[in-house]
Amino acid sequence: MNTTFSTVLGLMLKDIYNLKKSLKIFIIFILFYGGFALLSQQSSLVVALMTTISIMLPVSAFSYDHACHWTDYALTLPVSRRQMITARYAFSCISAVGCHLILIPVLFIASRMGSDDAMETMAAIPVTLGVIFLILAVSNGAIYRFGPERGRFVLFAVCMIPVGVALIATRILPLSVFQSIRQWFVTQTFFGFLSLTTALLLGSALIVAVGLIALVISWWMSCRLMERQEF
Amino acid sequence: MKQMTYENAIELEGLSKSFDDFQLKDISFALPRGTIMGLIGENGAGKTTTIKLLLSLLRPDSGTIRLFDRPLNGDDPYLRSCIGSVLDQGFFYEELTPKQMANVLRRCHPHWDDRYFAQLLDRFGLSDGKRCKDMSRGMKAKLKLTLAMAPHPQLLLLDEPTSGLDPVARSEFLDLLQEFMQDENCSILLSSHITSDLERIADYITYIHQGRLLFSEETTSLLENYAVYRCGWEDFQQLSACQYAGYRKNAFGCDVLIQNRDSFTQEHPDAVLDPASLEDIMTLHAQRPQ
Repeated sequence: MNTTFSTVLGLMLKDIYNLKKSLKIFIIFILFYGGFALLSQQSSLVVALMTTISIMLPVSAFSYDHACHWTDYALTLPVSRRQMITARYAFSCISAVGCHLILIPVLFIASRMGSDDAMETMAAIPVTLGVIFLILAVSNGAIYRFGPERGRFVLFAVCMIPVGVALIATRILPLSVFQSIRQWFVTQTFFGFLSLTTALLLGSALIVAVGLIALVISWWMSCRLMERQEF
Repeated sequence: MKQMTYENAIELEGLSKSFDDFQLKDISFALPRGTIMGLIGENGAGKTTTIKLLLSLLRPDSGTIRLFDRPLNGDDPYLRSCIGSVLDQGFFYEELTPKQMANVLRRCHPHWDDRYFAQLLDRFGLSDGKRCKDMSRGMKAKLKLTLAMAPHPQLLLLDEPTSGLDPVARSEFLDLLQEFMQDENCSILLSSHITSDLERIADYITYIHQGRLLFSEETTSLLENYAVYRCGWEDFQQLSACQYAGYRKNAFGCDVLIQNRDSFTQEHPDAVLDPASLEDIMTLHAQRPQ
């Protein structure tokens, strides 16, 4: 029999072929907004773009599969349901990591061109990646449960609720509250011995770890769900 | 690919599956190794459900399925590696070319044969790198069959693969199936509404009507035993219900499907019987008195 690795590679290759057109459009976006971000010294713009692309790529892959009833076909091949799900989660992770790897040279150039926040943004990449893993864990699971149409609403809710809460907080709370929180972080010695830098590094690693654990749990739940499904 | 030794490619026993609005009930038949079985029935009769049960896309409520003399228990990629299938619904995204599809399937299928795939593409005129969306319906049907056959399966499950094809394309398609059958280990279950195609190639016919099995018999014995008695309405009313399998009233009288030509001829020596085609058997059986 083919190995799981080879089968998963084959299934991911299918996603890459399907998304070829979308990838071309994304590259044009990256070049355009990347150039714009570099010139306007707003490096967070390109981070926001890459975050959106990392979340949208798996969703698009699900939509393509749904449009051509791929799952029905794939399950007539010597492919197990678990391998199909593994391939989709692997594709999600790889595309998220890939998008963030592209960010590193872009932000480096931005910093060389005098962007003040570029290096700060680069330091936040692991945190962004961890949050994206969390979002993908929820959205992939929701799409397996509800299908790409309704699963998209769950994804929208997952993305928009924290943004909404943050926006409301900035409206309701006075600026001094945020300033005192920032001050507290800067002056705090975490657990009595950690400096802010070390704490931030550990915090970033923790967020990535939580994201990966969430992805594993979501993968396991999707496998359980798929085993019961009929087509 | 290692050849398996088995007696029946498919063996179904008391297979049932219920949905909210449809029930497949007590389906039993066997497809012996090296033969072609035609699966007939009206739309929604349960043909696709039967094929999906064989592929584990659906789970039976009761009954047993054996493939190559091995029980089918849930998701079994090994058994599916010996099966090639063409479903009415479900395929690659249409932007892909046959070469790209092969690149994917080569990694997923343990018995994938690139050389045979290329031969089949050449033979069908599909090797020009066209994307699936730019192909005609006939070309797509041939591509689906090519992908199903490239890993040298021992069993082909084909769900209405020739629907919408012109007679020339259908004929080529059937020729390829007959070539596939030159290996005596190979078998085909072919669901189709085109009964003339089945008369040409099928060794067995299985008829599912409203979710129930009406018969599963050898094609030659079906065509020998069944006959159509074209008579007036008065003559028909003199027949007892056990003498016919179905009838259709028309402007000139009645077409009556006789199930046992010999015994009917003995009882009605003056009756003129026409040979029954598979289409006659299917359409008249469907109107069988309940």
